[in-house]
Amino acid sequence: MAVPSSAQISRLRRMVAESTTDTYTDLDLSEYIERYPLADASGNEPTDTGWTGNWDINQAAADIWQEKAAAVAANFDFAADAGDYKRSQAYAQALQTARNFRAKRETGSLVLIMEPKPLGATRVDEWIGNLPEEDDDL
Amino acid sequence: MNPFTAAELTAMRTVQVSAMMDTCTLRVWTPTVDDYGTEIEGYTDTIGVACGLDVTGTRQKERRRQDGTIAMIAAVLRLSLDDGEALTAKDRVTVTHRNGEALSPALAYGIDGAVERGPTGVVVRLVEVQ
Repeated sequence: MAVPSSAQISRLRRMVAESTTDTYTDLDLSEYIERYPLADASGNEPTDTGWTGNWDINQAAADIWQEKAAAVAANFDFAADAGDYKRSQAYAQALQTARNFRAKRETGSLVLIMEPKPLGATRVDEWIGNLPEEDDDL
Repeated sequence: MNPFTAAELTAMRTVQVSAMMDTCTLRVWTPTVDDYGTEIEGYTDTIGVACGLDVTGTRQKERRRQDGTIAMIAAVLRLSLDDGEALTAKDRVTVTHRNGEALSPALAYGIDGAVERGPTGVVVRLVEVQ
C-alpha cells in the first residue's frame, strides 16, 4: 500500500508552518495526507490495486490550519494596564489560511440521489432534479 | 457581565508579560542615615527586570513640582505584578534594553505619582526631572 513520501510530508510541514515535530509528528502529518487520496498519474483510483499513491496535500494543510485555529479560538482581545492585545488575529489568520488551502484543493463531483424517488421520476434510476421541463423548448 | 475566571486572568497576565520586550533596572529607595542623623541617598538595584516601555503620546506633558523642578512625563512603563507591586514614587527606573538591544546611554527615569496595579500588571508613569 502506498504511503506519503518524506518529501510530501516535508512539504505539508512547510505549508502549515510547523518546522518541528513538537506538535505534529511525521506520522501525524502522514495520517492527515492519507485522508485525501487522489487518482495517481496513470489514472488509477485509490481503490485500484495498481494505485501508486497520490494525495491532496492542500486539503490536508487546510485541515491542520483549521485545527490550529481551534487551538487559539478561546483567545479573546483585551486591553488592560497600558497594553492592547488583538489575540483574535491569530484565530482569524489561521482560518484565512485554511480557506486559502481549501480553495486550492482538487475539485470533485458528488452525485445526489433522492431517496425515495419521486413518483413522477419514471425515466431514470438516478433522479435528476434539474432536467429540462417539457415546455422548455417552446 | 461575568467576571474573569482565574484561568482567564492567568492567561491575560501571561500575554502581558510576554509582551514586555524591554529590560530595566528597578532602583528601590533605601536611604541610610549617617552618624549625624542625615539621610544619605541610596538605592537597591534589581537588574534584568522585564518591562514594557511606551514613549508614545506622553511627551509635552510638563508639570512644575513644589521644589521648583519641572517634571516631564516621559513614558509609561508596564511591569509584571510581582516586579512592580512594591514600587513607590521615591523609586527610580533605568531602562537598559529595548527589544533586546542594549541602550547606550540607558534611559533613567523617576516615578510620577502612585503605582497603578491593574488586573494584568503594574503601570508606572515615568518622568524626566529637569
